[in-house]
Amino acid sequence: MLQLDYTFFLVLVGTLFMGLSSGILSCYAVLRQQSLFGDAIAHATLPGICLAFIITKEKASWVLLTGALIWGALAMYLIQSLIDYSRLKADAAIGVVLSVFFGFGVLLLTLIQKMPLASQSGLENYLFGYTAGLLIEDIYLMAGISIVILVVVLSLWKEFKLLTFDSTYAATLGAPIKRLTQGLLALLTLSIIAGLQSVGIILMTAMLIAPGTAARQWTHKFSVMMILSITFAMLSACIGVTLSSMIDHLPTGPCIVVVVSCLAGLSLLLGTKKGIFLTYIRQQWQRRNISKESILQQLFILANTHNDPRYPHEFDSFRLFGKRPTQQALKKLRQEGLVYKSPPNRWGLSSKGHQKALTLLKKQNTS
Amino acid sequence: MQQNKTAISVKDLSMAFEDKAVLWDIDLEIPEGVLMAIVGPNGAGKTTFLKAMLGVIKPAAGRTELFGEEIKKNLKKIAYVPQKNTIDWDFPCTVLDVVLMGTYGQLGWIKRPGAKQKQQAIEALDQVGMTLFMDRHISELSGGQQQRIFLARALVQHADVLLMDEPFVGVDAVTEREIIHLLKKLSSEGKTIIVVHHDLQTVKAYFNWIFMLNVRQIADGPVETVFTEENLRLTYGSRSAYLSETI
Repeated sequence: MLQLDYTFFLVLVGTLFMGLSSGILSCYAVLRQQSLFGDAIAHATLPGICLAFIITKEKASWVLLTGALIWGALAMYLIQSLIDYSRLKADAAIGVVLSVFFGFGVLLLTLIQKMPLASQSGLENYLFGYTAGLLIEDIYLMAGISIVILVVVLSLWKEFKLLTFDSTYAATLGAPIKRLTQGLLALLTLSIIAGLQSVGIILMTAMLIAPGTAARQWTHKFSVMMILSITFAMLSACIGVTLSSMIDHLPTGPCIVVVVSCLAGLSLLLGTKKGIFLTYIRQQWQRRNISKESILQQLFILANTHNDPRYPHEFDSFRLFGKRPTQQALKKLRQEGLVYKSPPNRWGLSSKGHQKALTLLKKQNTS
Repeated sequence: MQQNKTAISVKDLSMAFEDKAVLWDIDLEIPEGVLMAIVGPNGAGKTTFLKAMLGVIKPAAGRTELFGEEIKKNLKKIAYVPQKNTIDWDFPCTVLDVVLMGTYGQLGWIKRPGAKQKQQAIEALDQVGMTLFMDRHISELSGGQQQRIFLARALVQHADVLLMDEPFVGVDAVTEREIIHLLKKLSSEGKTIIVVHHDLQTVKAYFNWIFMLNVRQIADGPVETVFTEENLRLTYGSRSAYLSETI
């Protein structure tokens, strides 16, 4: 049963803001091929959450999230420095930081659970998110983060776009590449912080990959991609929250992630611009066109040797590729009235087909 | 041609990656209005030289002046055309979007390109014969067309100096001819054009100034006097046997 109570709306609004911020950053993460960077930052927040608790003995989310922010930023700088100043490549640097930081976090989490405190349980909720514990203050925080991200991205729209498309060229226009890159990574870290309570550390990376990937399949325009990405992320939040409140014991974060992943999967298949299905159809269509055109040309050339443009030829004498595709192409050509069949298996150009072949050959010679 | 004024002067420029020198002590004066080729074998540091000159990568030593001023303060007067394989041509934007990026420098922070910038972009596209492709997605372009819109993006900047990195690689013959025609026209209008070039056969036909580079500076000056067999051997080493036929 769907219960439209206070908690439901609180969770809905919170996850909608989470969708807004991750939808925006997902575009950059996907286009800059930095989704795993986000994954590492998300995992690196765990020791921050644990240390914040150990130091303050507080469990208020703003305290823990501040710890998460500090360690997320730390991981970000560490990865960047490893890439810049060591021989490590980006993937290795990301892998090292992710596993070391997360390992340290898990260690601290275990230590905390053995501490003689009454209030230590609940920290593990940050691993997969735990929306039932959301408070109105948490919603303010998520809303604040999302609005900051939105305003910054809208103001620095062309700067971030150029940085993502061609950073060397951006540098020659005088743009401070390093600072812009750091700015974008800072926003990425903030968007992760906004998602830790609902989606959690481990699944957060899905929110940074799926919406942008899904959006890219439907458009060739960056602005449209951004709008679609935000829409997909927020829609998933909506559906995920509703599903988890209708079915008992269904956790919200994983629900949202499953929905957004399904949207990405469907888009990869059906997307109008880059979807696998339509791309395949277009390829087939093109292939068929090419075979049809080459048959017409071949028949034209052969007929020329007979001084009769309609002279029919044996199937095997003009076949340039496989038997079946040639038969299919001939069938189509016959339907269009461009060729005729003279039994048993001889084919010739109709006068319409002759004209068509002539224009095709002319077009080829001029281009 | 009058070539008194210096457009670019490079002083003691050196560059190293890790412990390997890739550019060694380059001193170069490029007169205003020349159409200059930078030639040298693979790994000679041609691209690095362009980038170090622009300050995109920090040189180990040395500096570059553009019209007597530090180049960093004068970036508006210079336009760069990178190698076309350095970017992701699958990026979601149209041909017009790419050319509009050339106006970002004059716009300054936060401001978006408007009708005026769009007009400029269309004019630049017209110069390279690509107006019909304005709304195409960039992944649908051929190599030659990609190069044309990269050039258009630089033209929009209305810069006095144009730096191009290997513009004729992977480009059809018609495009190559049209681009060089356009470059010659710009050069005759007083623009300084610097092109990293690999085809030694066309150096004499295309350029009037040359810089021969192989980590160290081999020679620079007018093509007629500098582009010699001797200098080619110094630039390309033992492989120059067949190269001498190009002279």
